[in-house]
Amino acid sequence: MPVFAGGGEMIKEVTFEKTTYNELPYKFEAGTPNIADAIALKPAIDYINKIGKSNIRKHEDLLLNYATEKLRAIEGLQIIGDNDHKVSVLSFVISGVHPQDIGILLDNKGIAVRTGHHCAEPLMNRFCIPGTIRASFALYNTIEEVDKLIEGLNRAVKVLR
Amino acid sequence: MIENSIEQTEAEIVDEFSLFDSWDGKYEYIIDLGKKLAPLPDEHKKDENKVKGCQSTVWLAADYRDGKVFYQAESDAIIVKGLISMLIRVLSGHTPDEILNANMDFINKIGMTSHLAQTRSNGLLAMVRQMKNYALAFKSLKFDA
Repeated sequence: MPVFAGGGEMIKEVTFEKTTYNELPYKFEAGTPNIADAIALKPAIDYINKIGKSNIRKHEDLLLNYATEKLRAIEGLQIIGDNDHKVSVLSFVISGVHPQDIGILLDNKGIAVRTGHHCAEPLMNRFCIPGTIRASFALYNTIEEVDKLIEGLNRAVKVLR
Repeated sequence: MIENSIEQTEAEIVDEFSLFDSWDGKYEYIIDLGKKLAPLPDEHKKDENKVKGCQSTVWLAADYRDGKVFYQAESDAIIVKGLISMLIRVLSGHTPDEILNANMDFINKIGMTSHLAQTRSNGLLAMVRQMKNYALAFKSLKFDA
């Protein structure tokens, strides 16, 4: 297989007659390796450990429960997936409104959700839905951001219906 | 009725969008266009009329009459419908050559390509490509006849 980029440790030997590439995987790893991310991995792990996984879980549950309660108040909204101990991910549909339209209007307000099949098209077909809107909450999200999501959703639904 | 060239219609749309100072207004306008787009008759809602590369379902049908191409389309997503409505307004009723030569620069000028997320603007470009494919197909029909 020919190389697509050159430089760094991907070379074994170069003469006027011919170039020999290094063995795999180096042949395909031209240039400077991703040193910065490798170094950043340790502080990232330290950060997570300092906060503590159970605290992170507690915060995510708080956001999830708050958002679930607020979303249920939106007319025609159906949450897809309601396991008791799910991670803080909320997938939902709103009757009469396409997920993509909601996604574009939320995006315009700086609110990031994912819309579409989420690589689970057979499941969407099983539920007879064109896709879902999915909000995910992490340790750095806040209650105020959930409020912004709800506000953005209410506004989007009003414009779209 | 004076028929506009493709460039004139594009310029009209750019003008209309310049009236809005925020994307809220632009989207409401696009949504409004989507709501007003005439529904596509059910007989055209078949698999071969589906545009590939869109997250929403988009059907696009075309007719060739008197040397001109006429488009009809529909989608289950309203913003997409509004976008198609603009594409139809610009391209429908023109000859295959005019359509194939159209640079569709208005999409950039109204800021749509930079404002939409990559996957979504790819969908928009897929619709333009499909419209041009129809024009190309009709053009080659003309030479066959």
